[in-house]
Amino acid sequence: MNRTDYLIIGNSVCGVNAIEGIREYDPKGEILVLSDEPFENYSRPLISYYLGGKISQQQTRFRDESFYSDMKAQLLVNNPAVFLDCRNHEIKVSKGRKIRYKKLLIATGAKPWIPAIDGFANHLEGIFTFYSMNDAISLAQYIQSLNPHNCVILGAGLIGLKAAEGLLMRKIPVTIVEMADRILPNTMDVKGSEIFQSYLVRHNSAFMKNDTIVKIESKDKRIKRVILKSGKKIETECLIVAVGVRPNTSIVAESSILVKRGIIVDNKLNTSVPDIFAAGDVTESPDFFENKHALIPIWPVAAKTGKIAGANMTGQEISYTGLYPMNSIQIFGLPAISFGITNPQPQNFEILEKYQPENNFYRKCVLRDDRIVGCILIGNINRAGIYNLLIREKISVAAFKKDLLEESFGFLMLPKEVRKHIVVGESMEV
Amino acid sequence: MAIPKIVPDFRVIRDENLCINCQACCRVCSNDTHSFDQNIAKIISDHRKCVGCHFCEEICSTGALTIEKCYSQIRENFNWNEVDFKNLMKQAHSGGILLTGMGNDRPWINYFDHIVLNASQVTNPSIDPLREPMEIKTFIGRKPDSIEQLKKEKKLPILLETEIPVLFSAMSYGSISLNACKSIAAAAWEAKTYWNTGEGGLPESLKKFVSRTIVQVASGRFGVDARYLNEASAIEIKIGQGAKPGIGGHLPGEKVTADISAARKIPEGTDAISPAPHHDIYSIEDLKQLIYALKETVDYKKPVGVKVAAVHNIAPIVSGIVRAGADFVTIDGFRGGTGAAPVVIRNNVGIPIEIAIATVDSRLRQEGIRNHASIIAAGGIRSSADVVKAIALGADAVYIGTATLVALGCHICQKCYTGKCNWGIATQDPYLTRRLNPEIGKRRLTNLLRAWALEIKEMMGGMGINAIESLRGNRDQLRGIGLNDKELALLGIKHAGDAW
Amino acid sequence: MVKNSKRKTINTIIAREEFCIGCRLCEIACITAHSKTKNIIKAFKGEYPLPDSAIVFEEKGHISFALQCRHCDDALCVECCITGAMTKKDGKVIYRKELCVGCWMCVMVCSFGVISPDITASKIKSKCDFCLETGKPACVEICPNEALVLKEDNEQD
Repeated sequence: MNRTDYLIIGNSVCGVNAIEGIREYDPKGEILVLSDEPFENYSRPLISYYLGGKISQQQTRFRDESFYSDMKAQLLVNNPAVFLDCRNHEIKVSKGRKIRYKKLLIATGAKPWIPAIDGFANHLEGIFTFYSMNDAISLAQYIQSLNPHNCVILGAGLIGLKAAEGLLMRKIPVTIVEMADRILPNTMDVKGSEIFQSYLVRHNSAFMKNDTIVKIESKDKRIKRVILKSGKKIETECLIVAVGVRPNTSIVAESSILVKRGIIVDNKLNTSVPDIFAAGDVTESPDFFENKHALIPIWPVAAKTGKIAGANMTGQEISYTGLYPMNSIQIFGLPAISFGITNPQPQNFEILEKYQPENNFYRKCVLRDDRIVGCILIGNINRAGIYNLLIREKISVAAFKKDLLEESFGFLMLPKEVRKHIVVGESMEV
Repeated sequence: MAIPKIVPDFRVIRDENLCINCQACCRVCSNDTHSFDQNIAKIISDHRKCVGCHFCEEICSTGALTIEKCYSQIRENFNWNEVDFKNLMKQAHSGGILLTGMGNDRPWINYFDHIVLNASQVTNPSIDPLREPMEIKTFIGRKPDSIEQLKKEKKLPILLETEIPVLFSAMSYGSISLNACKSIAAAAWEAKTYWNTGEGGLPESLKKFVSRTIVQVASGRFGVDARYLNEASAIEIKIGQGAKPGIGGHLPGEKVTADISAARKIPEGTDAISPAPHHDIYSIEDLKQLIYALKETVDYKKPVGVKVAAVHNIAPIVSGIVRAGADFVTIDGFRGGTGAAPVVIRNNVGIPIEIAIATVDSRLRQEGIRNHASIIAAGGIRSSADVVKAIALGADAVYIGTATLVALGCHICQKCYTGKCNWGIATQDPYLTRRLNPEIGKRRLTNLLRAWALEIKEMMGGMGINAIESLRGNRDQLRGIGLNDKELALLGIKHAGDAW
Repeated sequence: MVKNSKRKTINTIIAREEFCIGCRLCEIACITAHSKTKNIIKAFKGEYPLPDSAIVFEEKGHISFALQCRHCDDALCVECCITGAMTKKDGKVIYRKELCVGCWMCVMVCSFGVISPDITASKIKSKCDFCLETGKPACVEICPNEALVLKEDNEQD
């Protein structure tokens, strides 16, 4: 039986940050990382860049090759955790091997969710999810060998659109099917969706909104046609299902760890079972705005919670104050960033917005009690981080509301006291 | 007739090989001398607007700029020099009194430059200040007539104690910026000397330096109340100023900002007018009343002094002031600076400080009242040598004003009265005042005093003197060069070559 | 922000707006320090293209100040970088341009808004490297009024 001080299940951004979090406080303890994938290190968001041919597979790394040796962490790839025995502090891996841990971090992330569709079968060729490096590699190989004349993407969220961009860069026209009445329904508000849609249409993508795929028809074990709820039929040899992700909680299914949609963790990233931490997409972690738990499957949350969980595994007592959704997306040169609550019911919120169609400039701030709780920037994303700061530090914007939407927004628009506190820190005697 | 243009004073020379068009000069000039021309992608400089403050030259990171005197000359004429010619032209245009800043710039004789110091050779030993104690600590105020008197009265006189006989002279908050005042006050605190509020009152933010502060009571009484007087280290009644004897002061209403109005205790936006005379002082007897009114107010716990400009009757005037009860008398020579004065007054009224010190010291000695008051000499002290010469002529200490400002960046362009000082000194414009970082200002002034202290000690050591007390009025250490008998007699010194 | 972890940065560049005179020499110095020749005249007269300055200059009325990367202890830009282009090295946040794909995660999270995107190039315009080569930040060295100063490390735990 193997023993280790720290066992981390999952080797994506959350697991990697956990390694760094541990090493910040414990330079010696043994770290073992289990990964169910064959790759040493890759960044999930980069798979669309890989698909688009912008970068090689080697370039999808987000830590240097020496990372694991520098960190003195042992990585076991192709080694999914099979069973968790909380009572004995043991994890079973394949071939009956067991690993005993002192502290465990579950950072298994999420898995793509596939809705029930008539005619869908796993063995069908030409149907892909777009979540892992393997997905991207097989999609790329499929396209290379078959050169399909078009591709249907189910889901017009961030993953769907980034996949679309990758395909369009390979000169494959795409049709995007979205159940909601607009694209990027979770990231953008109506206006933002419109801007992106008209922008994408100009770049050869078609949209089917308020629609979904009800049936998949195949021939020779390969997808041939999809039939939409509206009755439309689209001939295609390639379908990408990108309707969202669900926490990958299978490892804790048979344990006593409290799970709702994701693993429930407190603000120290402890699960309900001692010595077991969880972080990243697999968790429902404390929400920033409200006193509840929320699923926020984004990189910054995975990184932050991973780092804190790692530190807390060494005995630190660092609190995670919660985050809110935030996304940065650039499609065909149009950048956009969104934070927090972007599309609320208007009552209880004050909404400021500004749109200049001539340069695709759009900026919106959602305010509650004179604090920003959400924000969208399209076209010009300069200094977006300041809005993030205003949200995170809950700084009252009452005094400079009128300047919030300015293209040149900066610290100078903040009241002197606030500004000096941020820019200089504790004031210096002069 | 064609109205003649006035030839500019300066030319801005830009070396195009060095200029990188960074436009720093365009951004910093408060006179808008430089501007970037998009069409030709070059910076154009308007010589006419240049006042010769050299701020752009110093900010230029490639050394592309040189500010030169404009060499356009009228035909040489002994009686009509360029300055008089230009001033006349300006007045023919404006019809007004010409204003200026800083001190008298006319080529009057500078007696400091005609006086040399002695040094010990063989017959008495010189002293090495690095190895032997050297005392330049100075006490300002009325000294007892004798030790017996001191023993009898059983109380020490009220004296100002300064580590170096150099004080910062009166420059008001209003005439100079708060950052300039801060630099000076903080340096006085650090160097354990004193600074003077001028007639600007004591701004709240400078109260922490109050125990190194001499407060002024001038003809406008700005900022004066019992608290102001009681907080200070000493009080100085200002009768006159070397740059403009007989002339009052006028701070225009637009410069009386909220902060200045608070310090001066006058309504915001009103003109701050200091009358030419104190209207309650038309005689020495009146002055005595004010001196004692102030002494009563502070319960005789602070020295009270009087500042006068050096004028023809300076010796009897100072004698009267001392007899009126002043603990120190400040004499401001005609090279003393100002924030604004008529050119004609600044250049033509008053007498040199060197003569004034010597004649006042002689007179007070003759009358046996030299110990009743300290003499602080002001107006034209440029170096530690001037300090030593002033003290040897009979001063107890000196005030430095222009030298202070030069240390803070001033290039003596004499445009203080415009309020556009590029160095952030003589201005209240928030664009400009920020250019004077008081941390740097304090450091530079402290450096200056430190350097002068070292030099004063070196010079004293050379003379074989180890305490500043032994230098005071010790005119044997001085010799004149190129001076006539009358001048030597007034200064009370021998000519170079005359032995003891 | 996680503030509990040990401070590792050595110094921070602080902008004191009350002393900024708006000359923008900091930008000139930054460009020079990151040019090929490191000589102001050679760089501005002979190099094309010149690097961008890594300073964000804010100016409104008489108030102005220059901001540059604070090299935060728990740098969010490093945490959120999806390619590892932003990395922490000896307490400094270092940007490796060759790895950057232009996802703008760093732009999104930088609390000081000092990471400027170059949208067309899909790279960050310029990133303060604390003048690693010389060890002394050029903007601080040149600032004529000490508006930019190095704030010495005050060990925080």
